Amino acid sequence: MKNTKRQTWEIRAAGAACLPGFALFYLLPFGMTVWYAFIRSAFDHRFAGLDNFIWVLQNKYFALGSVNLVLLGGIMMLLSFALILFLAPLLLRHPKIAKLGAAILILPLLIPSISAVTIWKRMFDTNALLNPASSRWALITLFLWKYSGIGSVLLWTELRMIPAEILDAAALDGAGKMKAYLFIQLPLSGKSLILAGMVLLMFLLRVYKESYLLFGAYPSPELYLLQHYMNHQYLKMNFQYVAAAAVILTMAALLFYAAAFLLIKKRKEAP
Amino acid sequence: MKKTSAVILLLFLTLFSLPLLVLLLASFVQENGSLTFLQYRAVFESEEIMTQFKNSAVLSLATLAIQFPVSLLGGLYLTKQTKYRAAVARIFMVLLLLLPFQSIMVPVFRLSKWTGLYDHQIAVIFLQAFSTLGPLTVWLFIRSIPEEQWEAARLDTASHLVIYVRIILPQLIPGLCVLGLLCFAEVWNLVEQPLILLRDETLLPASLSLNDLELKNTGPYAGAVLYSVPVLLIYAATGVIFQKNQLHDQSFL
Repeated sequence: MKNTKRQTWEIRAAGAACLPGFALFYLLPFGMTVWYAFIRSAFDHRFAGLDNFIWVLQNKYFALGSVNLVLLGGIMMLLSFALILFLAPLLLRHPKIAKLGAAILILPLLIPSISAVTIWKRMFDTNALLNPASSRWALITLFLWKYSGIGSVLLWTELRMIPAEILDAAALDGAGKMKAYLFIQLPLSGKSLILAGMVLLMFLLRVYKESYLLFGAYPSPELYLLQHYMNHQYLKMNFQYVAAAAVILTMAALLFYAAAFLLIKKRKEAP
Repeated sequence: MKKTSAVILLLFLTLFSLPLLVLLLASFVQENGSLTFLQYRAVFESEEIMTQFKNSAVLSLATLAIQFPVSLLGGLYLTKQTKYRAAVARIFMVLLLLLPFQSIMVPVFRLSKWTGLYDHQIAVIFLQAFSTLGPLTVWLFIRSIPEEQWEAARLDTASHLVIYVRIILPQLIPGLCVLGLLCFAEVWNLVEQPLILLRDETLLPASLSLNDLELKNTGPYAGAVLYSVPVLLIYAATGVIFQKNQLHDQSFL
């Protein structure tokens, strides 16, 4: 149905109430980040070409932060997914516990990081310089505790929507519970798995918050993340390097998100 | 077999609850092992902590006060756009939501300096209030309502806003509660934004430096427990509203 003149004005007014703020606080800063990445410095706006990117890519701390982010992030993502794939079917199997279970699993996501960190500091030796192994596990377990629960609940919600007839038919064909889960339920729940992956990746890129609260601004080399590098360059007022690193990080994240979107789209188009 | 899996599930749920239970217990225990309220007393007597709690409350409530109307209008805007325009807007919004704060850290700092908002809480409030999480979530909720309802309501009124306020929003109340909870939890948990935008220590929220404060050797646990209470209360209230409305969470997925 076509919008009347009044409706068009109403939609424009709704847009006018939110779009300028969104553009000013997010879109413009993001555009400026890209611009900063191509100038000599915040005080010398001459075009620098790809110099900032080359400098950043050759910097050993950028490399250290990137490698750590990929390694730590990889471990966190893998363990989170293992937990999600393990807990969701358990919730499905026990509907009487499931509601309370889902509430408990979501809860850590809402608990302020500062409160969680307080207890983590008691449970782990978080002196990153003296005990890097324990510190690493502190960060990994905190990530798992805080963010894998929501993934389990997302998967459980989608598993619940699979018609029982499909599973009954599979059982008649001789498929056991494990086989049905791996080859029928999981493929049918692809959308929520991809969504869980995206949510986890988003939190992974924001894990600096927990790392900062656990180890401060200067952790040991084993726990030095790309976000630490960006913050340190920011404190040195090397804004052009922060921007170049941000653009590289954004490009990498975009690749992941684009792959996830394509997967979702492919699943939607599948018969 | 079913019993074993129930035990395993309960074990995992206990593991997930354990940090909070330990935190709660630790907030009552003194170094000599006795159970007291000393930590809580120290928190309430600490002017510094109370100021930080107040700062967190100011940031959260002021952000929500702006974010909610903005999100509702943004959700309506996204819903009523042409397919192509809405897709472009949503892609930008999703991308900016998913990226870490470091991606826009420098320009946000410089913009706050230029506009004179640096070292004022309003800078953090505006930044969070216009986060793309709100409009995107509201749009997602509106999408779960059949288009036929809009069309049927158009027979009675020509105004999108009237239909939105009278017909659509009442159906979204549980979802909006979830949005409120998420937004509140996010602002209550801010670290990087105040770190970059606020220099004056008396303006910092407790989410940033609760652990750094002197608690007269009584321990930091009571502060951590008290700081979690508002989020837990809102979480419980959201659960009650959800049950009352008997809304199936999967409709939003």
